[in-house]
Amino acid sequence: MTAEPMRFCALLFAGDDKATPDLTALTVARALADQSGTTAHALVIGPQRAQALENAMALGLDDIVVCAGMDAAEPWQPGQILALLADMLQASPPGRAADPNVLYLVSADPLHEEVAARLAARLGAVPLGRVQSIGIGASGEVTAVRSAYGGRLRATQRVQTGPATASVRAGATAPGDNAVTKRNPTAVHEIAVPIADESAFEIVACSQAEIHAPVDGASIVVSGGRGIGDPAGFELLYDIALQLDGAVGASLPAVDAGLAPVARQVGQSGKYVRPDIYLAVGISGTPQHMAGIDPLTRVVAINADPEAPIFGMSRVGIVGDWKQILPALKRTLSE
Amino acid sequence: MHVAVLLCGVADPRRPLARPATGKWLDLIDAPTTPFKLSPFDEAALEVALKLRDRDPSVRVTALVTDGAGDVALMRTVASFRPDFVAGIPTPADRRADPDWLSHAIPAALNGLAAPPVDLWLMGREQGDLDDGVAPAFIAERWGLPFVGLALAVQRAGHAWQCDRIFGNQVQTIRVPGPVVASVTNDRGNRLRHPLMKNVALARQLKIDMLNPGDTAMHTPAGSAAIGQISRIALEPLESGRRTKSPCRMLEGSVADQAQALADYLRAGHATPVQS
Repeated sequence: MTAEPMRFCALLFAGDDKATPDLTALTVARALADQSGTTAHALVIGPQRAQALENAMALGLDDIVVCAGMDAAEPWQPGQILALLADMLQASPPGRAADPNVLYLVSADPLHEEVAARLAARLGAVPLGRVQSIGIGASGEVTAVRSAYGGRLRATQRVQTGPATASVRAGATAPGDNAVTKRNPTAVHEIAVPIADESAFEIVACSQAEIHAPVDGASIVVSGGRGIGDPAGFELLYDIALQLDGAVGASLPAVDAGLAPVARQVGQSGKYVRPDIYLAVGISGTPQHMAGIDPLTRVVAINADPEAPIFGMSRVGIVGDWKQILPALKRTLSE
Repeated sequence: MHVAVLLCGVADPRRPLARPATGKWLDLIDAPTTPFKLSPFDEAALEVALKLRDRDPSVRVTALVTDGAGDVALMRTVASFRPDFVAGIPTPADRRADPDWLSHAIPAALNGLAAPPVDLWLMGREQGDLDDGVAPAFIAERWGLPFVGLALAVQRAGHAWQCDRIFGNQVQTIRVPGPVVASVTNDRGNRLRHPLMKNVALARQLKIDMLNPGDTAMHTPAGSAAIGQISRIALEPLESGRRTKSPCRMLEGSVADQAQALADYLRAGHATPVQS
């Protein structure tokens, strides 16, 4: 018996901390539906839902369910978002909620990933994790590829039927993506579901993690590793990043050493970045770290060790001591 | 108070991976040539548990190891931190990277041990080499427990737990009624201590228990993904390919020359973004 092809549903929390919500999940849902000849849907919640809805309609999704009248929560917590999305799935247009044959897609960030993992547990869905690429196989199955073993192995998972969940990061490919030029207009359903207050934790204290520019979306990332080993070195990185209108990143050992907050950690276990240029200072270039940098990004390396693997992955390099190079670079950039 | 730490070994990141004798990369976990280590996140979770015991010696710490449970050196490393109970829960070959299995296997394995109920479950933010953060949240939801992701520190606050966590661009302190599952991320404040030498020596003599979840863990209860539906994972090596076709252009000369050339490249490159 041949299984019915899956449908694809993007789950999007459009928070108020980003000017432009990450629409990757919606884009991938559309592409997968086109490949498999099924339909693409979205559930959208959050303060920025109006803008997200506009963008989602431009992507040509078949239908979008928007939750209206719930702007009270601040800040939104994953448990609340999960409860709301689960309620929306139940309240979706007739025939939708009863169909379990769906792949739910979210963007690859900690909040959406937590929601997707918990939703998978609730629905009895297969959690595919944070996929690098996703497409439809020869037998109509969803084929998802992700990184494993610290970026040293590639893991391929296949699911024939839903429910399943996956998080997709910016730049995730959908092999065989075909542009469909003519579609029916997107059907928009607005529903009202109350926020479940009991799913929120008591917040005792809350502070802004940092004043510096976030690494997400930066067009140039100036990143430091264990080789810096000195807070003064990171101060220089922040200065240079500011001069270049970029942001500071860090390797896991640098975060471990307290040189940078975990929000700046780049790598398989941290942020995935897609800048034009990634300036790696005192970073050896382990697979775990390089897994967090887009292959199209140009890597520039400064390292005291001429044998450091990072030079094999860089366009431009300097063998030298950061304590000499960075101050000189800062001076030069200020001229 | 009972704190359980769920640990999952990772293949030593400083050593190249060797293909197992079976030829299947998925068998790395059983390959005797692959040494296992604690991930930075598991180390942080263990340290959080030890800190809780430092503050209150009545805290009981249980350490359970799944992937890498067969690696004696790893188990001795865990034992050298003197948890009150340490045991392995070997993962069946066909249930790796399966948080659904973990959610059933852990309670089943603990069933029968005369241990008090767990008040706090701690895990690294990723469960071993095959998880990218799904497992902790999935398991918490399956168990019907509150979940705190990306915790930096945890302490007791009356009958609740107080957790510092990273949430977006904020550092939050939240209070959660127990029992709780918390995934811990690496931070300067939770770097794993060094074990005492006498405890390292004691751990060498310790007989490590292996817990068997039994057949119950293979049963698929209502609400779980059907066995036939669970995807199987195929692993293959990534090409350790170069990111560039041409060799790295090394900037030579004096420091001032190098800085000037680098500044020129950064400015020019910044102005001409890569076409994707």
